[in-house]
Amino acid sequence: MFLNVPEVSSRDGMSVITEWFALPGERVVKGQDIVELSSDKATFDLQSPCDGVLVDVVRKRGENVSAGETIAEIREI
Amino acid sequence: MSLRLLDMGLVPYENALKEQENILTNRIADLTEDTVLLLEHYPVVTLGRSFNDTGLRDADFFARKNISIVRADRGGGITYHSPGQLVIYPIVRIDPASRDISSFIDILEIMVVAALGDLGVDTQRDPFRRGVWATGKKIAFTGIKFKRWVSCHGVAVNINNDISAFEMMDPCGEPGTKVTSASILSGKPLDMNEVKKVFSVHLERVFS
Repeated sequence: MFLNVPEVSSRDGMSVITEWFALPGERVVKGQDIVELSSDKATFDLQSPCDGVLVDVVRKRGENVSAGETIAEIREI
Repeated sequence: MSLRLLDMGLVPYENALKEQENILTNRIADLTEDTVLLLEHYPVVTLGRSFNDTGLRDADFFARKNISIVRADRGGGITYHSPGQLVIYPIVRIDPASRDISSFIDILEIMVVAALGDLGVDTQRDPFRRGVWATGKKIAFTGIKFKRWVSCHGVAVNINNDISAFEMMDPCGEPGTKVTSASILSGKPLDMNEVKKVFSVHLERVFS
């Protein structure tokens, strides 16, 4: 499953990745915090949509990302 | 929907952070209602997630005064808290479907302008810059964290606090930003109990 940047209503229209809470290769569980993003003076976090392994992180901390963009892949187990 | 308003008085930053985290955890689990903390902090510099090293111009100034500089997991850049500044931490759930960060911050800013207006202090919002402004200077500063679309951290409003320390930084990471306070604009100190009472009315209005 892909972890995509959600559509958020913010003045910036963009988000910045501010923290990864899990590393590639790490087992994750559904609902676990995976990444924190920042937009328009606010941070928000995204959770794993499933139990699995975080197989790939395609955007690094500090990078700008847009709504809909895939930033990580989680292999469901 | 009920709103719980808690006046914590003058508290160290770490204590308020711990209290926020407890309430946040309970709010996410639906074990408590939306809550707003009203408080003042002992002097402390906080660095939000957008802080970059150029925003703090004179770290020695704060070291000499034994003022801590702490990282904060909120949005925004650098700011300074001290007694006489009203700090408002709303721990409230927003609609997870809308994820409307912008409206949430708009509501906070509009609430501050309205409350300060009731206290006889004329302020405005700026269409291009976050915060609340008066005579081209910043009087209120926002920095929010959402965890599972429940907010924490919030807005700080300069009321009677000494604002000289803001000269040692670029508030919110915005170079050239000047800062003011309600007491400077009024020409006299404001009664903090009255200030909290007025803000409480407006907080009830926007979050209940």
